[in-house]
Amino acid sequence: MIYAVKVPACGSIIQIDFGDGAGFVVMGLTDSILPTPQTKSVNETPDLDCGMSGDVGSEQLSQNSFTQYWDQQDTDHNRVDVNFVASKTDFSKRDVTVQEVSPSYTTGAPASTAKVATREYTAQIVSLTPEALTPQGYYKREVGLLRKSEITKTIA
Amino acid sequence: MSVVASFRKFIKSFPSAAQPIAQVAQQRVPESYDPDNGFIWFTLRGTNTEKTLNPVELDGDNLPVNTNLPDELLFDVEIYHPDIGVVEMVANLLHRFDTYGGAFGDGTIGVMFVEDQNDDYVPQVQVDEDVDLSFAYLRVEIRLYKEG
Repeated sequence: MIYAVKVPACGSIIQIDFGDGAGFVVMGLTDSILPTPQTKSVNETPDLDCGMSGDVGSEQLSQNSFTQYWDQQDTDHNRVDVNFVASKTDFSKRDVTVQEVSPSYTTGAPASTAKVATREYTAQIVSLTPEALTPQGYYKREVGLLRKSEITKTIA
Repeated sequence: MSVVASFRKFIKSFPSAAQPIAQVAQQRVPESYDPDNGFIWFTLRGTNTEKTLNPVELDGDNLPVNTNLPDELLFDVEIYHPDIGVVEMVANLLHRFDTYGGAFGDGTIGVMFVEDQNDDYVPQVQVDEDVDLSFAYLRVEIRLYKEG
């Protein structure tokens, strides 16, 4: 029996707690979100018999990003800029907590109810990359994240 | 005031050089017209939206609060006048508003783009072949209209 369903990406949000007392704030009007990948190191061991040998190591740091319609007057967008600058000198502000939140959806499982899946992790903001400004375009920028912790996944 | 009404008011506010043709800007095809005085016809052809991922929620009245509302409004504009010089003057005047943003009718716009229609554009106004009218076809895109 197949329970999985196609979950629409529309409705997904990424929200960040900058540790400034505001709690999680949604990075509004996102054009795209690249969920953080999970990769383990691969240790290949030379083998004189030409056989395959090696092992999988620990989980690696990973980078991901999201692209937002950039509003420089938006308070929550400015939190990104403030953190990027402040974290250069104040190490306590380097780490932020990121949540990737799926839209509420119902699986095909019996007696299931609409739930939200959340992936939470600690990260640093490593890049702010505005897109080129074109006559018929909009202000957009890509915010780059470096994940530094395990992912805590919750379904609620 | 709706964006269509603001569009009409915008054209009618053209400087006196464009009068009287701008005075007869209208959205419906005229059943009859004075061949000595041209007219400007326009219609809201459609809308476009750059969609975002953001979720849609319901407010207290169960109405969707949606950030993906149409923010690009596309107008067809047809300019007719017996004098080709007047047609070109009005068309050029409209072209000068390309990339303009600010007051618009009774509202404001983020930006406006003005371009000539493509060669395959099919005019909506049916002009009698017996009437010698010059014409120009333009398309106007309006973004981020806000009612005043």
